[in-house]
Amino acid sequence: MNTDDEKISSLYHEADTPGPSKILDDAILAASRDAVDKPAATKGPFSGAWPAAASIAAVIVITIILVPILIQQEPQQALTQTTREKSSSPELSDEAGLNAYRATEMKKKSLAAPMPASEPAMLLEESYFAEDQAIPARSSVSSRAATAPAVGAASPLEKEEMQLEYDTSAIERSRMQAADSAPFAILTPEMWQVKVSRLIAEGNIDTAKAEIEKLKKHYPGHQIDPTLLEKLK
Amino acid sequence: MDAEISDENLMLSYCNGDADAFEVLYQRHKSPLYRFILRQSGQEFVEELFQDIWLKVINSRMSYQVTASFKTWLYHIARNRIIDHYRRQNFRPVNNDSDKLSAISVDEHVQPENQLEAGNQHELLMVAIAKLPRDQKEAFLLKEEVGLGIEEIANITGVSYEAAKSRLRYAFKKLRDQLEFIHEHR
Repeated sequence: MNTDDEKISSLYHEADTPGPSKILDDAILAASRDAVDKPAATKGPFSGAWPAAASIAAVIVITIILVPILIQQEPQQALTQTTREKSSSPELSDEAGLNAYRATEMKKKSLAAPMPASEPAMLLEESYFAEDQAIPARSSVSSRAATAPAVGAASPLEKEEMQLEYDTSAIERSRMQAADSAPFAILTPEMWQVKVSRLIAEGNIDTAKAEIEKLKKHYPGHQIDPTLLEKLK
Repeated sequence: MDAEISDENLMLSYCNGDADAFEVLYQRHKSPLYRFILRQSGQEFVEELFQDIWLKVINSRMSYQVTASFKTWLYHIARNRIIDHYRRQNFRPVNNDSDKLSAISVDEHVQPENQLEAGNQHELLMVAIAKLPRDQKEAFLLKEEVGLGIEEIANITGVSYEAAKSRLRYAFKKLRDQLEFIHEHR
């Protein structure tokens, strides 16, 4: 620092030196005393940022674990609920069944092509609707023998027909199993008729009649197969 | 007690609940800090900034650690608060003394004697300081008002030793030139 700078420095310190007002002094000193008088709150085990972070993590984990489970259980719960409604008030129209019926009818209309004959069991397990589409196309041969025919002794055309018959009978068996195992609420009219025909075949005529009555009650507009009614007489 | 105990120890005492220690600390630093703020922000904002800075010191007592001198820590807080103030003001210079100096610089070509008669040298120096670039003004005030060395100035302003030294040198040169300019017209 040269002499000129020292002059500037001394000149700077020459004059009056403004400072804070008394009011400002008092305010700051009062704040400092207040801060000391009120000690900082002791931190409890649930203070700080970790509870919030832990809560968020818990919500995420629960969501990831529970949502898939709930999604899987939802159809089952809906099914149970519908069954309960049905059993508690049988006179009420079965919306689930009606919806299923309508969907089946629409699919029948939109899908004119028959279902491929291969892997019928798998398809039956997967969808009742697919089953309903396939059955009318093969209904003419569905009442034939259910056992596998001797394919080697027949002509090619006969072989093809026999193979189709075998496949269809497999479908029929799976379908009947599905009708038996399916809850009451989701039986479509076609499935119901299959169930009735099975009961007739087994000789349970009274039960079959009762099932037909239920079918009429729940699907009043449905045209029941006349041959089935004939058998019941 | 005042002269014996260091700023750092006073602050540590205050951290442990001794309010009197803070009062001593406050009395030591209030005037230089006030002027440091005043020269940069102007009269309009000085009280607000001054109070904010001391409240920041009070609220930081629990986390205070002696990593540097108390003065360095205090002026670091002050500087940050002033920068924040500048940002809020969109870097608009608040000090009206700059305009005053411009008026003097223009008029003195016409009637320099009258100008010098109208105000003393100190006032002209204050006006010249107000017109310094912000970095140079800050370095000048930290040296003259707070009494810090170049190294501490560099530490507070976050620049190298050389940069701090350069800022200080330019500040003095500009002030010198300004005062010489006035003397030439005497």
